[in-house]
Amino acid sequence: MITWDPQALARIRHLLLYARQSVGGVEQGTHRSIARGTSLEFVDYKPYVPGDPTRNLDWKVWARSDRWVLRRFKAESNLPSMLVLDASGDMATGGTGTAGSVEAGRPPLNGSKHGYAICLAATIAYYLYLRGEPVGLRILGGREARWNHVPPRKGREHLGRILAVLASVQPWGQAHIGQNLNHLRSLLGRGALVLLLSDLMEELDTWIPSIRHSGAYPTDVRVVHIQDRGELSLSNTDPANLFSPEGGTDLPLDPLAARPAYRREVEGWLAQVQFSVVQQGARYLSAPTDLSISHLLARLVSGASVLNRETWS
Amino acid sequence: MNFSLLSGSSLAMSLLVLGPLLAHLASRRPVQRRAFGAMMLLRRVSRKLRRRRRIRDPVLMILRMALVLLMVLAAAHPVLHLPRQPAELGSSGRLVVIVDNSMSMSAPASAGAAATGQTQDQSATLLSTARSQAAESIRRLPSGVQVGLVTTAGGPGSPSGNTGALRLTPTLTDATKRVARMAESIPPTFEATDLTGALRQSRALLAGEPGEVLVFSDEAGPTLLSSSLEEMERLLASGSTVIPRKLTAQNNDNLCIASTQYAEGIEGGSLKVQVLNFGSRQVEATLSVRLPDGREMNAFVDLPAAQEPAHPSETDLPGPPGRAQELFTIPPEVQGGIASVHVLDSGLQQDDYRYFHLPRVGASRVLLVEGDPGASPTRSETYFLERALAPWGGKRSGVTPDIIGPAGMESLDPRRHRVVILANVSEPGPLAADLNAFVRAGGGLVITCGDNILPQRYNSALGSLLPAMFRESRNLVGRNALGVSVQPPDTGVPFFSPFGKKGTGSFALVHFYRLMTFEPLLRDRDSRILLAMENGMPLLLESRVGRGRVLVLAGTVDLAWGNLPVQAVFVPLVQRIIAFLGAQGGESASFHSGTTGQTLSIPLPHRRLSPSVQGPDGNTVPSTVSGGRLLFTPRTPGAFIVHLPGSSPLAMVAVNTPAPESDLRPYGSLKELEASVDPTLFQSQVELGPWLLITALVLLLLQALVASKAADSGNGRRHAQSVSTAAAHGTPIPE
Repeated sequence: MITWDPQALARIRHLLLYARQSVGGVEQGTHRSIARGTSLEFVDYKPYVPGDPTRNLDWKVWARSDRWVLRRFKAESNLPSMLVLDASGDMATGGTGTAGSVEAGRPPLNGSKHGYAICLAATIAYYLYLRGEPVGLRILGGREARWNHVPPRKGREHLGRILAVLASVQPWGQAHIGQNLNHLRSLLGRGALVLLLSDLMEELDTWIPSIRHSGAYPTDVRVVHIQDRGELSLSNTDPANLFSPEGGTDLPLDPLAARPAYRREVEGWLAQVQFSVVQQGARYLSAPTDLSISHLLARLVSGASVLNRETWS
Repeated sequence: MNFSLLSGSSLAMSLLVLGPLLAHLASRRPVQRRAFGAMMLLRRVSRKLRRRRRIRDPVLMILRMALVLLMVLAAAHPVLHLPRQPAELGSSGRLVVIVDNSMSMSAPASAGAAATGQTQDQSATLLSTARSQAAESIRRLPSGVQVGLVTTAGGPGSPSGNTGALRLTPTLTDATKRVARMAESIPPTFEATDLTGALRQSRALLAGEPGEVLVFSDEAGPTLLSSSLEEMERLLASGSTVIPRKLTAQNNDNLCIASTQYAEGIEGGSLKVQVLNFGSRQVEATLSVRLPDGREMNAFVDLPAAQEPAHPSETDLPGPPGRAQELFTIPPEVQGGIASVHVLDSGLQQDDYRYFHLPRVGASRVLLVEGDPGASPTRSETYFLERALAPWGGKRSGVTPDIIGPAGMESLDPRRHRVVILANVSEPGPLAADLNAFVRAGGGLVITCGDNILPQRYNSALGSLLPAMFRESRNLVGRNALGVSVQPPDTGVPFFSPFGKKGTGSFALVHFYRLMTFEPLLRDRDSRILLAMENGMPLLLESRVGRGRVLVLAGTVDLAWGNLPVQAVFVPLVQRIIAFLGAQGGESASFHSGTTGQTLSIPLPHRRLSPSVQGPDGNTVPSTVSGGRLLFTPRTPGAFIVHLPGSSPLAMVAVNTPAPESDLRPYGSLKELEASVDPTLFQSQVELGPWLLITALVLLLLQALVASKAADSGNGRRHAQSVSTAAAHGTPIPE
């Protein structure tokens, strides 16, 4: 028997509202333009053989020439989208994220990298749901998620499943981005669009090769880099013993002394990440947590955005 | 103006100043634990970060460090020293004037010093200037001031030579005019500065009461100030003050003869003269040696300038003087006596001569009595002795042997012959009376043994001269054996001193297989064994009889009993024995040395003698006889002769000027010495401790103010963070 904790349920509601608000602000009314069948385009005829669906028999041709032929249409692309959410321990930080909040459970939706990431994932899922396109979800790391992998499907019920997973997952452990992307490629088996939502706090050489666009069914990987400005600028001034929720030893740090060298390191790292992602044929989008999700979604669906259909096929 | 710490050890607490620094560094050590999502990036720079630690609130930390530093300084009792104005001369009512009239004060005074002394004469000496200034100072004293006068030289003197100070006024007196006239007539001396004695005399004049001691001196010489430190302390302890009036010489350039050293040689002697240059310029000087017989020898010597101080810590002291030495060869026929060396220089004239003893060089005549001519040269003592005494002929060697047989003893002339050698003489009886008189008058007698020697005859004839009675001759080993070797001699004995440099080993090559044996030594004639065999038997014995010496060789000087004549040590040994007996031992007068102003004590041969002392100028010098010793104090350098009327000299005394007086360069100053004893005489002190404490209090308040402001800003920052956290979690915002 599946049980829901109240916090998860409240989160589902929040996520849904969040998604509606964000999507509504970006493409209001877009879902009404999606009409079933209108997207089918006639291509040619083929002779009927037993077993073919009779639904596409051209009755007019049979009436005129007493031949059984089937009408053939251009197939719908229907490229599935896979949201890959980094739920590693490091995602629990950011904004007001502290050790206490990390250890207590789910980080707040507002401020933490994890909260920002699940809100963004919910919004994109909702957007694709309105577009009638299949969308799936895979959780990297994390714990207490109902499912770690939700295959791409359409429909409202499927959307609810995705939202449930997003609401229930707690940041935990390590993401292993590279391994998971490779495994996901084998699960999908055909071409798909993979949308990676992560802070990318793993060494580049462990995951960059996995986003290469290759194979019989190429997987198009789009990287949304979740960034906490405070974290990357080391804005906190109080000395502290810093630790990573993913493990390792503590590091006593005086931010005032460390800031210049750290900022230089961050700038180099950001440039290297962006360059490496683009070099592998993937797309890169920076997503600071203080950037509104509707604004980010607008960038996503704009001309060169990740979700633009033309760029997918 | 300078600065000192009464409790310098308190500065060790200055390490406390690190306290605030460590505290501020420690305050930056993290106290809370916080999750951080970019640890991967942070760890990349963590190695650099560990080396850097910024100090929080640097202004507050500096204030706190300054506060600690001030308190530590206050605990160290810092004192500021300010110069003190000197009091007016005579203000204490009791004044002693010390005038330095030592030899160095005879140097020409500088123009400034002469003008100050109102002596415009270009030939003014330091002493004349000092006399003028002292008299002027005494005349200007306020009425009622009691004054005394002391000189640093010219006093009675002592064997140690440091009681030359002379009190010219028995007590303090208010007759200032008379004392001023006495000051103007202080005579120059050739003596050393006895500043210690002068300060002691001043203390005696002041009779323990506080007073002033006015010192007119050139303050020159390496030991002047250091030796007077103790007396200075006593004087200042009685509440008195010393007021130095330093006089500066025209220049410090001066030459002096530091030492003369005579060394005997086979062909006469050599005189090594060492000359010092205290000046700062290299000079060429002329040296003249005047021998006792009136002959003169001249040489030029290049003298380097005085050196810089050898040690960096002695930069305020003069360096070592420039040194040079010159060797003079003394002819072998020179008579003994007091000779002199003269160096010509433009500096101090009083130290240009140095007098020294020149022993009679060589034994011009040796009477060799041949007892056994021998059938061949190897059996003839004369053959070997003749060649050992005059290897290059008699005139060139300085030794002319007269060879006679035992029957020719009448040819012994004590005025010509200095040494008689009895070489294996069988019958000494006929010679005994002459030899006895000869030795007692200062002659030297050498007896060598052989097969002709009959012990009983020698014991009966020369028993009063021998160091030990003859016993018998005895074989030491078999006839064909090598024999017994000789022990290395004691090079401290004058005979053997030339063998000191690796020469003693040659004695081990000398072997004897037969020797004369002796009864025990006769102690009444200072008998001793000079050389012994390896088996302990004596080989060379010595006795002193009257003014002469007798040496007995237990072996032969031919090859009959041993191999001595063919060994390398034979010639130098014979030369040494003859030179010593003929020169040193042959002189009737004793030799002594001394310095001017030093009371000399000359031992007399008999207690009842009352000799007189003749000075260099031919005049009789005052002297006294006490306890068999003659006491006198020479005032001038030169040759002093102690003699009885109508007889040969008993003693000859070479008197020279004191060496430290030749160095006219200052080695510190009397004022510095006084300041080292009692700095408060020249400085007033201001305690800085209270002012530092007040400043520390101000800093304390200031840092409290800065600390409270820093705390306020810290609280505000923490409050803002907690508000932000609460907003994110939906909890109530703290007040």
